[in-house]
Amino acid sequence: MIEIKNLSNYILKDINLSVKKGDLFVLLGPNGSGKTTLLDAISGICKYEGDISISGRSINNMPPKKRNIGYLFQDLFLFPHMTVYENIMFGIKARNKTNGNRAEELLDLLNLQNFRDRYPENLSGGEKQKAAFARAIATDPEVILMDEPFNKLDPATTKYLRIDFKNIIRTLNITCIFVTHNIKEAVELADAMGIMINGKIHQVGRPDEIYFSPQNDEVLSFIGRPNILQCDEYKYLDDGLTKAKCGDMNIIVPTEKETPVKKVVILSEKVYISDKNPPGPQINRYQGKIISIKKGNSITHIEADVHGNIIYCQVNKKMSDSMQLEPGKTVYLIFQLRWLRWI
Amino acid sequence: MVRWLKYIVIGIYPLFVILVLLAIITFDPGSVISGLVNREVLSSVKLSIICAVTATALAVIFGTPLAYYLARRDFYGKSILETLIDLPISVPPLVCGVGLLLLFGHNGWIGKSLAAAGIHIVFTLKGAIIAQFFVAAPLYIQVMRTTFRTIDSRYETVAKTLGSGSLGSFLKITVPLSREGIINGTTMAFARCMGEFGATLMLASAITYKTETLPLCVFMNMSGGNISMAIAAASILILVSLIIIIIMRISVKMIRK
Repeated sequence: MIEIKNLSNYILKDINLSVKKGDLFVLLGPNGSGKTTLLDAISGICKYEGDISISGRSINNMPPKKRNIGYLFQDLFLFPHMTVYENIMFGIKARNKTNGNRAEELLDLLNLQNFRDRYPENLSGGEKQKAAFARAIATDPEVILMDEPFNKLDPATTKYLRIDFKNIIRTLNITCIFVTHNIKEAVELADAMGIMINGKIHQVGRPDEIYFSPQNDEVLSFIGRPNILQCDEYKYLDDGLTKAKCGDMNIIVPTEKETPVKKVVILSEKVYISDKNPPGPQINRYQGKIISIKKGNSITHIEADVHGNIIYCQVNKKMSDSMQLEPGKTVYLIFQLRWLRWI
Repeated sequence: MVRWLKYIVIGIYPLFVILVLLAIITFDPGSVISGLVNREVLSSVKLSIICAVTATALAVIFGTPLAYYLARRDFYGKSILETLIDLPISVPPLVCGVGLLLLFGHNGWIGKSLAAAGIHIVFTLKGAIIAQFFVAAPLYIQVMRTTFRTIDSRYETVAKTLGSGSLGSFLKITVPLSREGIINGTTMAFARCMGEFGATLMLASAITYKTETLPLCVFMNMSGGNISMAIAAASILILVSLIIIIIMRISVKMIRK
């Protein structure tokens, strides 16, 4: 378990955070919000005031080498003069854990055996990620810190690595703090997540808690305004989908099995808006009328009435101008399945 | 016309170097062979190598931590310190030699104490080593400072999070990543030591079999009218420089592989 109390420095402002042992905690926030600085403070490579403890043991006065924390940096920093195997063995040797088998186990676990004698410059992006991850967990750390590790990878590689890494962290029961600015990634990975903006953690909770009830305007402006729709009835459709009736709107949500759907949520930025009925299957698309429009510098915020439900959506200013959106105009709204959340 | 002008401009300096080398080598080709068996020249070769190796080693030992500190830390007065360190590169070696003589002479600030302890620097091989160290170290420091600056300090940070200490991170990560710079810096310092004349002459003088290094041997024989011997020593000096450059180039190529 990681306990952070009243942590402050030149960027961080009075951070209080508790991460349960074995949890995958995702720290979500815009670029420059202080996420990396918080990881640096936990790992001991930047100065701070306040208290950090791991499993009840205060680590404030410990240098990085004694904290037993694995850190997967955003730019990885695999040692270019060492092979994959030597990179993994570096921490094991440095901590005098003369366990050569551990490196072999990790090479097997991450399918890196064929690359063990390769130098980092001869690896693909995904292989580099795996090698750096193996190096970070080779010393059996209590905690692993991951700083936007999939930032520079293609979506397909990111997807399978995300699953691989999550499974390994679960299997090894390591507490993980994962930093990202990608909401989708955060929701997919997190046991719990925190929203960090301007050096401050504004909200901590389960992903659905944050999605359904953003605590303040800062969180709202970052994750987007949620449309929360109360459902009166639901019907399981057998093929991993449930039809929920929210007022006069019928919404199809992906549920895997038959489960009661009480509320459905979709962020305003994920609602697709068009002035014409777009072609395609007539699932989760609704006709509505614009009630109000608020034009910002680059984004136009729209409120539309759909069968008595108020739906918030946003579109970039160029598009809203080209569609000549104005109060009273009829529009079509689409909720994409992958962006729907429910409880 | 423009094309020919281009080739002339590009080729003028290499041609100049070739002409100077040829002028020395072709003056008396037999002298190189006779130089190789001449006791005075052989002694100069030996003294030159002893001095250059020792002075270069001192430059590496004292220059590396200094270059690292200058590359990694920011502190008040850093640019003044850097200018001070670079000064011996632009000040004529003869002037450096005067300063060293005043410092290490029998009445100098350091020389006086050393003399009291029975250690004499002036007109000794130790003096030649100190003079060469003083002149060559700034070159090594300059190369290493640039090298360390190009290596991302976060490699060391990663090593620290993996359980390595500051010294361990430096030795296992930064030093191997600086190999090319170390070879370049060491070679430049060694070459500078081999060719050092002014400061060495001032502090150690040119005492045959004692402090007479190769450049001093060339000068002494030239001024004494023994041109063949001067040519022999000069040719050997060219040969040694050539070998140093070839070794450096091969080493750098091997590292890049």
